[in-house]
Parts: sequence; C-alpha cells; structure tokens
Amino acid sequence: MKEYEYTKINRMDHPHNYMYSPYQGEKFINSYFKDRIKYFKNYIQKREQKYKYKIDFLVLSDGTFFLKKFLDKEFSDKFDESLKGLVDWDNCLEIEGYIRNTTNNIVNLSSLDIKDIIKTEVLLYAILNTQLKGKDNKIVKFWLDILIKRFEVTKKIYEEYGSNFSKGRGRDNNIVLYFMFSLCLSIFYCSTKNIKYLSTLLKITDLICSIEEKTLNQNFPLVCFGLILLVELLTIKSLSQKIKEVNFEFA
Amino acid sequence: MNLHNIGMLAADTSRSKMYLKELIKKKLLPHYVLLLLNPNHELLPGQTKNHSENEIIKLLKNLNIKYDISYNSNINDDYVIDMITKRPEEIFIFSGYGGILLKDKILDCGKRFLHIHGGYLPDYKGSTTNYYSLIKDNSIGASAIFLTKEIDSGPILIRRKFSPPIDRREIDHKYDSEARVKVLIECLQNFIKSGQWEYKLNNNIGGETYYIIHPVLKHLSILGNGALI
Repeated sequence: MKEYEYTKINRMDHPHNYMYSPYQGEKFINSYFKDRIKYFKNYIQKREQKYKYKIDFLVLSDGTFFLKKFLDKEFSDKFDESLKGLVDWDNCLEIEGYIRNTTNNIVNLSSLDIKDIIKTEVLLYAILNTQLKGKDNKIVKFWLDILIKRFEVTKKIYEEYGSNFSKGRGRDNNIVLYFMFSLCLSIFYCSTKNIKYLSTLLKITDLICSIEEKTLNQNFPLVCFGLILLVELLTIKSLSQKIKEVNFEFA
Repeated sequence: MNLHNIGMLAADTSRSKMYLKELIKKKLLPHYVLLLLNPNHELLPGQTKNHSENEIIKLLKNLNIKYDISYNSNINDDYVIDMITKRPEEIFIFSGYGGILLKDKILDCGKRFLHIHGGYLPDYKGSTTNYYSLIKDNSIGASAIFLTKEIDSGPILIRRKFSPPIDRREIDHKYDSEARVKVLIECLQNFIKSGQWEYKLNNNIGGETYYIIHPVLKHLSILGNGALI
C-alpha cells in the first residue's frame, strides 16, 4: 500500500497546497486510515502533562468532554468501540471541575473587532469558550471563516493578525495554536456537519501529525489531539461506509 | 457569429481548449483572444501538459481569430494588464490558469470579465466546489458571473445544476469544464438574443465559501455514488 504522503514530511516547513491532488483509488483512503490510526494510538496512550496555566484546563477538559459526547452519540459499532476503548477517559476527564472560574480570563468573542489587531491565542480561546458553552454559532462561524481563509491561503497560523485580518504577523510555528484551531474546527464540524470545516481540519491534522513528536512543545496536549484524530477518522469512516460496492480497510 | 465586443483571456489548459472548441462549434467566435502561455517546464494548475505545438493557436489561426500571445502566464502582471487594457473589446471571457485570483489592478482596468464558476451559486463559492456538492447533494453545477473584488460574488447571469458525472475521476479536466462550457454557451446565446446581459439573480450573497478540498474528501466524492452527508 502506498504511504499517505501528506504527513510524510514536516508540513510546517514544507506546506502542501493540495491543488489538483491525484486520484489514487480506494487504496488512498486505506492509507489515510492506517496513517491516522498510527498517530491516534501513539498520542492516546500518553499521560497528559501538568499545564502551566489554568486556562488550558478549560480547553482540555471541556473540549474532551464535548468530543466524548459526540463520539458516544455518533459512533458505536465494534470497530468504533475498540478504538474508543483505547482512551483512558478517567485520565482525560479528571481535570473537569477545576475550571469553572477560569473563564473570566477569556475575552468575550463578541467584544473582538476585526478592525483591531487580533492576538490569535486570544481569539481561539474566545471561540472555544463560546463553542463549549453552546452559544451563538453565527459569531463562531464568522471568526472561524476568517481564520480558515488565512490558513488556506498561507497554510500558516500566525501569532497575530493586523487590522481587518489582512496579514499575519509574528511567529507562525506555535504548534499549540494549530492544536487549538483543530479543536475549534472539530467541535464546529460536530455541531454543524459542514464538510468545509472537516476539509480544513484534515489539513491541520496532517500538519500536526507531520511534525516529529519530540519537537512538539511541552504544552502540546497529545491526548486531546488524539481524540480529535479519533473524531476525524471515525467521521471519514462513517462517510466512506455510505459508499456502496467499495470495501475499505479500516484497520 | 463574431462577437464584436467580446474577447477571451485563455490559458494553455484543457478548459480553455474546451471553451474555444465549443464556441467554434456554436459559431460564437470571440473577436480577440489573449493566450497566456506557460514558459516553464513545470505544469500550472489546470494543465495536463505544456504544449510546444499549441493546439489553441492552430484553432485560432484556422478561424482567423485575432490573437496575441503572452509568455507571461500571470494574469495580474502589468504587461498582461496593459495588453488587455489597450484592446477595444469591453468584455473578456475569463479562462486563466487555476488558483489565481484577479487583483484590483486588472479588475479596475475598464474591462469586465465573464467568468463561469464551477459550482452552483450562491450556495457553493470558492474552489473545488463540485466535489463538495457531490458529497452534499450528489450534483455538480456551474454559474456565469462577472468577476468582482469579492470572490464569486458578482450578480449571477445564469446558473445550472447537472447530474453527477459517469466517471468521477475525470471531473478536474473534463466534467467540470463541460458543465462550465454549457453555461457559457447559454449565457452568450441569451446575450445575443436579448442584446443585453440579463441577470437571473442580482443578489449573489450568502452561501458558503469553500477552499481546495482535502484529498481524502476528494476521494470519497469520486468513489461515492450518492450524497454522503
């Protein structure tokens, strides 16, 4: 089976533009599954580290809880359960409850103005907070669409963006920002089933998987990222099962 | 019929070739063609090969269609903009290389660019939208618009939905172009009939803007045999 090429080399340093990607038949889907399952199994067995900032607990515990609910609701066949069974849910969710008072540190999404300079981390926390509280999807979509546009054009997420989100500035290699963006996209896909968000999610997860684990920042939440991969690959599996007369190899 | 006020901006791509062949077949000849050739060995988006013996030039010569060649393939380059600006035609059928957006300078050069978008507007704006619509609706589409600064947002002259192609592996270079060319011909025929550009939908707002589809979803769209969502 041909290797899945999109995670083969570091996509932060060598971005893929995905233009006119060649058709390789069902084997390509099989190679995607094989590749993603490899990363999922690797990340999911890690123990979460202790995070420096309380704010991270919000993302990890509420985000994890949201993804777990989606996984339980949508995926329940034998194969799905076997993958879900690999997750140490107690470890993932044990920090839930810590975080109820930390949201004060997060700005209100509706207070952000596109005409201002926007710090990406601030924006992503605000988006996640709004998403996890089940608030207005319209404003979430507005900001996510802007970030998606910048990412799809440059294949980068910058530390901050100038007025009207015209140009990215500062570092473009903060992998935690890419993780947060992938969490926002996965939650938005779970809520809307809009494949536009799944398409960009696949590109972001390609990029993160393509980076050597040892070079990932110590604040990178490997287990939660593993869950995002699980949501993504079970979604792709579910979509592919609707295709008649093609047998994919999921394992 | 020679369309006196209409020129064409063509590239050395399967789509431009299909456009020209069909325009010739329907006797809707552009008054002038500016052909952007790719001077490099590396193929540009929309190309399956880079021709030294160019088929488009042969077609233009055979039909005595006035043409110029630019060995600069960048539509936004000053040289290309200058060549277009000095032409008398007011409307240009746009069929440049894929993945390039027209910048303000060319959009402000005094010409209007008739673009056939590969997707049903306003629902499907942006790139590779026919793959997305196959997954969502099991159909493909094409829509005629004049290009504006906002992507795929000009008023809609005509839009059509089509059944899914028989061989979905050929969408990029065959079926997407086929859908577009049908809409282009219908749009030009409407113009000839009424003598003016009539808009079917002035209000091309809303919908979703899509970006190049991820190869995994592209494969599901090709392998699929019905809507998947």
